[in-house]
Amino acid sequence: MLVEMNGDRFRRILVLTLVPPLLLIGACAISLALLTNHLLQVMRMDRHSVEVISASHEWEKLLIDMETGLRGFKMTGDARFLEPYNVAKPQVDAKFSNLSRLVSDNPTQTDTLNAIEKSVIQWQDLAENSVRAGKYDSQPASLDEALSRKALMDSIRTLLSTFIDNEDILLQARDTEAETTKQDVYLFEMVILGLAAALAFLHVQRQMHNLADSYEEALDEVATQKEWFRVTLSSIGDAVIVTDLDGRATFMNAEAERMTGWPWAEAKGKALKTIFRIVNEETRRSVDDPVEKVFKEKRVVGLANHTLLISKSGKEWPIEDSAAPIYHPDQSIVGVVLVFHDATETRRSAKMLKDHADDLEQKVLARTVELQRSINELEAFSYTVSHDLRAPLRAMQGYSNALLEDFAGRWGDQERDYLARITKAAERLDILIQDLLTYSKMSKEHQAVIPVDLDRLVGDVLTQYPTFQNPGLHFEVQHPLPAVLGHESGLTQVISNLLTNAVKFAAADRPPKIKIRAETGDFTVRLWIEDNGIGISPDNHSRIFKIFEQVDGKKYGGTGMGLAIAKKAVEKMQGSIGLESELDVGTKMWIELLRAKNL
Amino acid sequence: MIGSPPILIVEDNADDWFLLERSFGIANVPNVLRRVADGQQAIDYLQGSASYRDRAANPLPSLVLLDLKLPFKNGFEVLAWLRQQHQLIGIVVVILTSSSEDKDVSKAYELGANAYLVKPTSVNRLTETVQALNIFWFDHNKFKALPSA
Repeated sequence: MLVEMNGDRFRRILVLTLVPPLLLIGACAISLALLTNHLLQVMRMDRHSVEVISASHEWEKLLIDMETGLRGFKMTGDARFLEPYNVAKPQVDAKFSNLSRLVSDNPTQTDTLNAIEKSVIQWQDLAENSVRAGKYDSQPASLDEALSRKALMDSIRTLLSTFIDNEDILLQARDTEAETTKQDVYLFEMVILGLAAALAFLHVQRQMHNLADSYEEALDEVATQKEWFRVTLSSIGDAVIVTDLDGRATFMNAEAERMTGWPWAEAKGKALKTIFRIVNEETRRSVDDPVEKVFKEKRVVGLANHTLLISKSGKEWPIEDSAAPIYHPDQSIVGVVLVFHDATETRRSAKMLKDHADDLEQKVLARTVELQRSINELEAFSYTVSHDLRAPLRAMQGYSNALLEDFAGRWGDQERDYLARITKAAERLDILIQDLLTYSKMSKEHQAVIPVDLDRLVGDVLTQYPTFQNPGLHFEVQHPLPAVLGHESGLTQVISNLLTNAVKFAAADRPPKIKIRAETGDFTVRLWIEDNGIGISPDNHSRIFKIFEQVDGKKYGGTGMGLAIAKKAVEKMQGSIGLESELDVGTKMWIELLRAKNL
Repeated sequence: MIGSPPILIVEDNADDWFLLERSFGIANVPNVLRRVADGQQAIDYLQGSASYRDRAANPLPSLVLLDLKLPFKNGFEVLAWLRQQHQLIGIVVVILTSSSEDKDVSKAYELGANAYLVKPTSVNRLTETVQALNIFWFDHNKFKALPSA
């Protein structure tokens, strides 16, 4: 829907309009020039004839002068009468030659002149003889001579008269031709000019008509386009206001009318500030005029956040908008187009989202505080347990011991047994407390894993723990054991716990044999501790890792926390623990840890 | 060894005090044991104030056995205070506590403890500990001379 009315087309029409008339005028001018040239030619010939006639008369006069002078001399014998004769004599031939030259293009006249020349030569001979003879001597010979000269002269004059008449006829004919030609030129001029004017008129009219058609077509297209843009802008969901260079409204669509509360009829030509009143949502201060901003920055500008539009009736709209310069093809800014829309929903959603996030953050914060308090409480609890609960235990144990030792003589076997039981119970409770503390410590500790050499660690545990020094125990370690990622203390705890179990749950009928070996995978290491003890029935496999669980605690002693602590410790090292066991055959415990590439 | 400096034991728990005193007896430690029951008393004793003004009757100890969990002023406060006292430099402080928490151990050493012992549950172990303490500090160790009364 864009108008294709460009400069080229317009120029083409103009050229077509102007060139044919110009060519026509050129043709007319050439024709006229040719015609005029012809006229001039005719008129020159005309002048030529006049010249010929005049020269003829002059020549005749010379001849008459000679004859007159000769006659005077003849009659008087006085040489003074010969003066005209002598003056004219040298001119006669020259003048005649001139006359011959003038009519050389006309054979008829040339023939006449040739006839005249013959007579003139005869006359000149006679005249010369006559001059030599001197004064008439009244003899008949003199008369004859005079008469023959007269006859020649008459013949010459007759011939000349004919010559002049002929030339006169020519002159007349040429006059007529000149006149006719003049008439022709006028007529031709009139006809040509009339024709040219008519053609030019028709042509120009036709072309103007075309031009007018094109122009009208272009105007139609422009109007269609304008209407299309107007309809498009009017149909846009966003509000649109267009202003001119002075910031006065030149267009607004229905949505803009609705939101500003200004009907277009009223808003037209009003300053944007009047119809588009915007303030900051929070400060209620008026916001920078977007139109001024566009003129100043010469680019698309967005409105600041939290902008409120106040309508004519005072209704407030949260809006989002942008303003853009309208450029003329010559790059100058001719106006501003302002596009905005109701942002109530967007802002409500954003606020809800923010509130929600704030709320969530608040909750997280509260929970964190709560959690921290729990941790602190737990720590305080652990501290209390380790200090205060153990103090009475030490006292119980200490006093029973003191009783046994300090007053040894006073007690019978039974009393001693009771006191030993008190000590034993206190010891057990102490171990239980220590295990609980270890377990809670495992739970809360966060430590980075580092490479630990299992070979060395297992060796240390086996040589340093008194439990494993019993010569009845048989340990088999498949060296070398690889390095894993873990914590030295945690791993020591886990491995000693597992070995303690392996030793503790030995079968009564066979000496304990414990095998320690490792399976090395691409990323993990699985350490197996396999015994030939009493075994664990499959029902109990998952139970044993729970705190305080012991399948048969009374018989074997211990707190039932060894595996729970081991599990917790292994998990802290990003590992896992498990077992394969058959009742009365033995138990194969394993821990799987990340493999250390190097130590 | 009459006249050698006493050992100051800072212990609020009467049972622990009883068992400790008993172990010192079994271990045949010759030094006089002086007991205070809280942190404030410990400070008073060490600086010779309140009921401990008489330095002749309450001579400065060469070694303090310090519990951590104490009324009024805890063991850390006593230790921190003690290490600030210029004239008391050289007094050996051995922590004897039921806490085996790493952070307590670290803090004690940071504040200038000379050793850290965890109270054993069994009295026999306690006696062994006291014996070791005696052998190391009093048989082998050389103390700095302390200002007397």
